Amino acid sequence: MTERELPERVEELIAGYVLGDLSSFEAEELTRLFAEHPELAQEVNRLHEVLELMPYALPEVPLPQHLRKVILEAVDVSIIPQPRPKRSLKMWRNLAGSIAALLVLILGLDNYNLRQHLSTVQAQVDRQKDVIAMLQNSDTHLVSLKGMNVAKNAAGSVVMTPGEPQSVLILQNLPVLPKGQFYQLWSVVNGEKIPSGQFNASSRGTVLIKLSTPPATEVQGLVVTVEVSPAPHSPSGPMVMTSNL
Amino acid sequence: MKQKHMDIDSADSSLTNQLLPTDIELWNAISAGQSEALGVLYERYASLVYRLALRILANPQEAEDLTQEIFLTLWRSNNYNPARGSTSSFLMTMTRSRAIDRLRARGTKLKFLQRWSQMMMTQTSPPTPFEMASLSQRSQHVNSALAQLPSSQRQVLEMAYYDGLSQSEIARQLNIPLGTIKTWSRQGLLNLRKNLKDFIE
Repeated sequence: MTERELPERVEELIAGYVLGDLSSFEAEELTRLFAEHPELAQEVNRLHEVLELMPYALPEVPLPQHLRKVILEAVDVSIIPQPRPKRSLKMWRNLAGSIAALLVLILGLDNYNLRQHLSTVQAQVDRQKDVIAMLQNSDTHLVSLKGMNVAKNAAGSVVMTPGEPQSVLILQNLPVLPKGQFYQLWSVVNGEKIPSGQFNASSRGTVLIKLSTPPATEVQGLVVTVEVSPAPHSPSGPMVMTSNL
Repeated sequence: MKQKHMDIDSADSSLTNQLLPTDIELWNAISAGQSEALGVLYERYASLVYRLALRILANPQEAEDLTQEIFLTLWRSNNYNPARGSTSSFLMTMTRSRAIDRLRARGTKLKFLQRWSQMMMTQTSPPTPFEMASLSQRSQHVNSALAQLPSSQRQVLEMAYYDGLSQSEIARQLNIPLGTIKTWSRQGLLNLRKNLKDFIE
């Protein structure tokens, strides 16, 4: 449901919500609509932005001359500036840092292969570019995966971006499977596991691969199992990795 | 002062804007304890904060105090989250809610407008013409968008926004049925968006 197609009734309810004048009956109706169409949240936000533009229409008044000085002096004497990094930003940096470290590790370990096979080089570079491009997207988020059972030392992340049909899987310390077995990624959507691609670990137990996943906003969890069928419809093998979404 | 505004508004404004730090960069610098960044944010938004505070409180000294309080609060506990909306909207929400708080503290029996902004995350998007515009360009656009509203819609919007009146209080004051007031204010807000569409999207 985009803004242009929004029925008048819905628009009116959202306006009422932003203005804080919904009746209880209308509030119920809107709550139901929010549950059915979470994308309406954006609409609420846009309309709120519009409302908060109103002060721009106020007549210009000169600021008291001394005010800036007063404020900046208060700031300078009040505290020796202490960095107060935002938690989310810090966490993001940490995550991005560990992804970068993992990439270096994987690319470093694969260096021998890279030198031998130019096509592999190109593929690796492309995948690396993909990951970097995705990391630069502000909507991108990382889902970490932890190993269990035979793969209890395995760890890594899935880089997902809303609107991107593919996600990048970066794993390490994954056991190399015997011939005829595959790792299978499953995306949990509405409690159901949707097959989202197969892969194998390199001889060093690393994985860097792009797989088609359901829309990032719908994915509630990710699971990796070991399968023997090349295209299973539902998991039949043991679970070896899981997200902590 | 006037000359300075003229410069910012000149045809080169887009070029000028490209060279200036973005709001996000300023917030990051403030988080890192750089007081100059607060100075730049002040240049950018203090006049608007002060205008709004003065409109609601109708008292220059109180408006000045509140402006100071707002900027010192930003410095001490920078809690702006870009995912929740623009800097401008964040500052207006904060200023308005604190100004109306002060009105109430004066003993005026005013009801809060409810639930303004806390909820609802959104994704950050590329800069709109609005974000690239100078203060006086913004003022011009919003003024003309408001001027296009039927006066009834504009009046109820302003009463709700600046005076913190509930719809039923407005209905009582204007002696007009509540249903009509709600329609006017909701349509007013939706029309305002329509009038500003090219500027903000």
